[in-house]
Amino acid sequence: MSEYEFLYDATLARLRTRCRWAGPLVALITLLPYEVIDERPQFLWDLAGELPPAGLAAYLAPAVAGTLVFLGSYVCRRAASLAILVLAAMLGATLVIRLGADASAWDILALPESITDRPQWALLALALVSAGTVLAARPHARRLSRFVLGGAALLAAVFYLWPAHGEAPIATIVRVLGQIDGDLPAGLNVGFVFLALLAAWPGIMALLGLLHLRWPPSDGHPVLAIAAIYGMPALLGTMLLRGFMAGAGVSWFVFLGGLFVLGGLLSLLAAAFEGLFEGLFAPVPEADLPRGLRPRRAFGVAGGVLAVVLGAQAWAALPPEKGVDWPLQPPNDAGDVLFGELLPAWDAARLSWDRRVRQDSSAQAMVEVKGAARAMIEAARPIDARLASALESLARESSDLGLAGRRWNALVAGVNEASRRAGLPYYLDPTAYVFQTAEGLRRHFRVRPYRIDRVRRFAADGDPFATLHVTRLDVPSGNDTRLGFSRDVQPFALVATGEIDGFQVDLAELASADPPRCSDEAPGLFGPEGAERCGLLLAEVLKRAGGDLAPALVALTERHELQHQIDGPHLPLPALVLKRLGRYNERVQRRASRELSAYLAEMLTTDAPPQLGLIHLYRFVLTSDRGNELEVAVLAFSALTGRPAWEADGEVDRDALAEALEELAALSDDALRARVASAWADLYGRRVAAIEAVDAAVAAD
Amino acid sequence: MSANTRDPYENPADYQPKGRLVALLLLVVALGGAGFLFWRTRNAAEPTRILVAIDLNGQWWQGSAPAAKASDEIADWLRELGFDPVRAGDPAVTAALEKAASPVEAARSLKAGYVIQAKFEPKVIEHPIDEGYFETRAEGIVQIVHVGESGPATEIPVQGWSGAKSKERALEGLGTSVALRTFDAALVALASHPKLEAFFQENPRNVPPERLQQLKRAREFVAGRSRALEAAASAYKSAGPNRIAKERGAVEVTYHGTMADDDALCGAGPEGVLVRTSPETPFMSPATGKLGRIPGLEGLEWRKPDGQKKALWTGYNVYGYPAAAPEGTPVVLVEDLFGGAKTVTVVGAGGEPKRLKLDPVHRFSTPVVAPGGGAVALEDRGCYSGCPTDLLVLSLADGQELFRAGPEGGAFGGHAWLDARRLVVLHDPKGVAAETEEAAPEGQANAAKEPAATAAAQGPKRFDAPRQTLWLVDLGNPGASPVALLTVGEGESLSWLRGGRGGKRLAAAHRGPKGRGLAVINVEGGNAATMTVHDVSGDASAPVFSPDDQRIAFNLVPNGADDDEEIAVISAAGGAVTRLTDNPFRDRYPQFSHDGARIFFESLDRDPAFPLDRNVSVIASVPAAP
Repeated sequence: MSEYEFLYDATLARLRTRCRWAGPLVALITLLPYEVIDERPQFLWDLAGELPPAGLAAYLAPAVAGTLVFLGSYVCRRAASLAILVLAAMLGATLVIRLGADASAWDILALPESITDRPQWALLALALVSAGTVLAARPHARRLSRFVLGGAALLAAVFYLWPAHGEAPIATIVRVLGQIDGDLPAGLNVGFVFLALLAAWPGIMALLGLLHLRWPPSDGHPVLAIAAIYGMPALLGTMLLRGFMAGAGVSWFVFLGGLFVLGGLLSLLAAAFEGLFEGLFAPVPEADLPRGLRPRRAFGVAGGVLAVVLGAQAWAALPPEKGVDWPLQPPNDAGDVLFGELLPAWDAARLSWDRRVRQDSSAQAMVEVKGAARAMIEAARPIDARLASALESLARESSDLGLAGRRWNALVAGVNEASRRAGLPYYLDPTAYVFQTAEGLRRHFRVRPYRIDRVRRFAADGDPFATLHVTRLDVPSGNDTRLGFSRDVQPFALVATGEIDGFQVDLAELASADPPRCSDEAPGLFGPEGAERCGLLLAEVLKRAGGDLAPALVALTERHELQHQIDGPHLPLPALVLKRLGRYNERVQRRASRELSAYLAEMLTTDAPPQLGLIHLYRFVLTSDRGNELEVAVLAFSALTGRPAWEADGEVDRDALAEALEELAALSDDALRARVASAWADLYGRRVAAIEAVDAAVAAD
Repeated sequence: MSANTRDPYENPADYQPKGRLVALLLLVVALGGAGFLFWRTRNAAEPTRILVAIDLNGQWWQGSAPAAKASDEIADWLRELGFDPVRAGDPAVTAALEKAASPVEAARSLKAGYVIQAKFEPKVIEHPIDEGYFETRAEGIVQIVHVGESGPATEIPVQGWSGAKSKERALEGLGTSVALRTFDAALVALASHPKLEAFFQENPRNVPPERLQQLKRAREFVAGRSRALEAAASAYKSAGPNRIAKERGAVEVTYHGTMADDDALCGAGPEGVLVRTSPETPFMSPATGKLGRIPGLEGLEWRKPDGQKKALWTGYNVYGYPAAAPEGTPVVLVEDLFGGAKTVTVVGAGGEPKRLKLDPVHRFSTPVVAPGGGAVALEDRGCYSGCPTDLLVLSLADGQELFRAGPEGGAFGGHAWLDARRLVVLHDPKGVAAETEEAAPEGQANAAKEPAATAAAQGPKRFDAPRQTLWLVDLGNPGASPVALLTVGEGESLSWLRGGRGGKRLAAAHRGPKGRGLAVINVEGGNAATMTVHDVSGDASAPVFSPDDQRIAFNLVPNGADDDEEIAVISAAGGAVTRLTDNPFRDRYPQFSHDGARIFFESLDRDPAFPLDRNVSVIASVPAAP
């Protein structure tokens, strides 16, 4: 046996061993809780029903990849082909997860960030360091190791220099080290050092790896190779000790499991890289290799499988189509009774049953639900058979105690589709209420019935979109604070004309007061400085509108909701948002960003004075001392004026906001719209979509 | 290898372990056994898991709201006590029940240890009150079945009733009524079942501690129930001998009921005495954990001295005291329909009730049936209180009004029949009755206490006299005016008017300037009457003639003993008063037996088990001639 063969066999043996223990560990990612709330583990399978097919595939990807790796260790006879399988499986899982995350973001529930957000570059760098170091110990692979170690350093550099969540990791390290202060307790300073070390570990390993370019290791098991794999889990493990002393709860065990997975993943990748590169670039003569797939063929097979899998995932992950064709018949008494009385009665009975069924007997509640369902379905039959069938499905399947949100939405969508096909002017909106129970938070699903007054279709840069103008049927106007709403998964946005009518009456009253004002809050409460100007502005706008703000509010709301439809869940995060909200999690940042986009875009509509949009925003300043709406207003005025409306310590600068309002209110309509368009483009790096009405509004007579 | 050295690997069979097949079989058996035990454990019925399946107009999974109500209430009470009732609203449970051939089969799949099942066929009676009123009743047999046994179930008869303005609400109320009784019966059966009784013993042994803890409330409840019911039963049991021990009278009193009864003595006839019953059953409330009472439907029955009973009628509530014809039949009663209306109902010899009159506003009271059973005279007040009370005579054949007279600014004070056609009535032109007849509860006593002369007389007065007068109304001569038979003296008044069977004598309670007594009125001819007042050494009321009209039994409150109420008898011609009872109880409303040999009466006292909130009234009798 030659030295090549010996070392090659050793590589294969190492890779096989790691596949057999690390593969199952990777598969176990699917079984670990993705979150622990109040010491209650939240498992991914609790979400399974809520995820779209692409999201479900992403959820299962680690399990499939780990299983393939495990099985491959028994099937593959050559190190290179096994390495290709491992790397293809890991790459495929990563890409499937990424695509699935994108798809699920459009749906009602996104994949948790703890699943989708992984520092891949850093992990790859560590794996390459380990592989490169081992290769450097082998004379025949020493030259190869230079490229591998160099590649590790390059990946590390990309990781440290590429900004994530608004800040490059290298800047984060510098910032953390900058907080070390002699006046602070020693423990705190040690903590900063530790955090910096943890963040810098991949870089340190990569740099140490470069040393081996000059001084190759003499040992077949180089220390650096081991440190690169197990160093980070070990560092993180020290935090476990502290947690253990504080009391090992569910979170502690989850964290421990995560460390094992991390270690397994790194060792697997390292062995795979080692096997791949050695097999490709420092091969043993073919005759000395066991029978098996040649690397080229293995690449081909893996690539083909990946292409199929990723292609299917990409297809499944396509964003939903937008726009709708909904011809409307006039409303009728039977429909009003069905959607306005019988459906809400069934919904209320179902909620009552759903809230009780897990605790007590609730036979009466079930009888009531069934009776209400019967009445609802029987009333629907003469209206439209498909509608009755859809309502029957809704009633039947909603009795499932394990009903998930996605299924609920699909059932309600079925009713809406039947309504649309029949040309009925009725829409059901699915919603969920969260109740606190003894067993924790529980979601209960409900529906809200609306009558559709109008359907409008638009094109935004050539893509179709639509809005429905709706009026709530089951409760009087004023009970729902939303003037409009939009869901990424739906092909249309909704404008609640009933609520707008009530809102405009309130605004008209405020504008007609002496002195005119923008809000009901006491003037001195938040931002008295701009309150007077806002009131005057509202009075001017009301006068321009001839005393009726409803058409302008409808136009504004419609444009706002259309922008949400256009933006979708993948709107880039502007630097301004990251700067202002950097300390918050990404979900908060994205929400603020999307609202900022919509509130700015609404001022671009030519069917309403843009000043009304300013008033809309400034009301948040007058009525809130914190919260998402206030932040959106601060960001909007900052973007429109180019000046941050907050102080150095992060406190909202209400004087600056008042000055911003004064400045913007003085602009003409066109000038203000131009300012808005420019601000939007600066924020999001592209031109805001131009909206065209496709056809005249289709109104029910 | 040498010939003497054997290749150790020559015969591989040497190295195979012996008995492998036996070991393998043992392993398979062990695994199979373990698997079976595991499956058995996983699928074993839970002894405290109970399926409630009450069929009341259908089962709840078939959409019956009253069945759902009953099942929910029973299940909730069971859960309160620590049992694990099957959650009826769970779709998986519904699916299992819809699929199964019977609740017991479903219970197996649901791993329930017991089934509480019953089938009730509700009877719905619609009453023509306002927009309608529905009464529901149901009787059935509740079975408690242990799922693992094939033997007979424990069976308990249960009945329930309810009323409401809509049929649906009435049936729902029936569900609650049935649930209460079913729960009580079922709990006892569960606690005494062989599989569970160990948990309910005073010192349970060999029972899992977690199960004991789970059923702690049930144990406490059952034990408390048992103690409370035993205490009540003991109180009732000792009440009889106590009463007898406290009797100081010269004659022996015989009780014709239990010490828990609340019976009313309404009349006498050939079939015994007519008794109105208001049964109540002691019951441990699962909601409060205290002893309460479940009211049953009221009834009318003939009761013989030997204890034999013949049921005549049952219903929600009797308003006041029913009356029987002197011959014993028919019987007339005023029904209270759930507070929504009053009816005049006649029950014939066959027991079929017939409603002659129904009114949501008017209040009918003090029926007196004419000899021969052709008519009934009664008072008719137009509202709850403050309205004038008319005298009304109805035909018992068809309910037609044979006679009606308003009080004409005064008030009627009693009425009695001389014969099938002639009615005598007391009328006081001043409108304030001297005595209040206590013959009926709830407002009946208010009937005579009306504002004086508030109603202006309409038309010429028929009862025109200076003072209270006994009038004769001849129904055989409809056009004739009432004839004044007797006008009392200044300061005198009569009440509790009763007639003898011969048609010539009347008795009444008398009050005058000289005191109180018992008046005997002889009717002469048809247009006059003479009155003799007998001093009875006390206050007399509720007089009743013996069948031969020679003696009068009455309530006596002896002079100086205002709280004492006894039964006394006097000759109709006057003379000495014989006290028949002498005890600390309230004895009242005497009735001669049909043969005159005994005098029956009501004997009142505090309920021995519920002394603070209930009285009992037991029917008793004494020999008429001591």
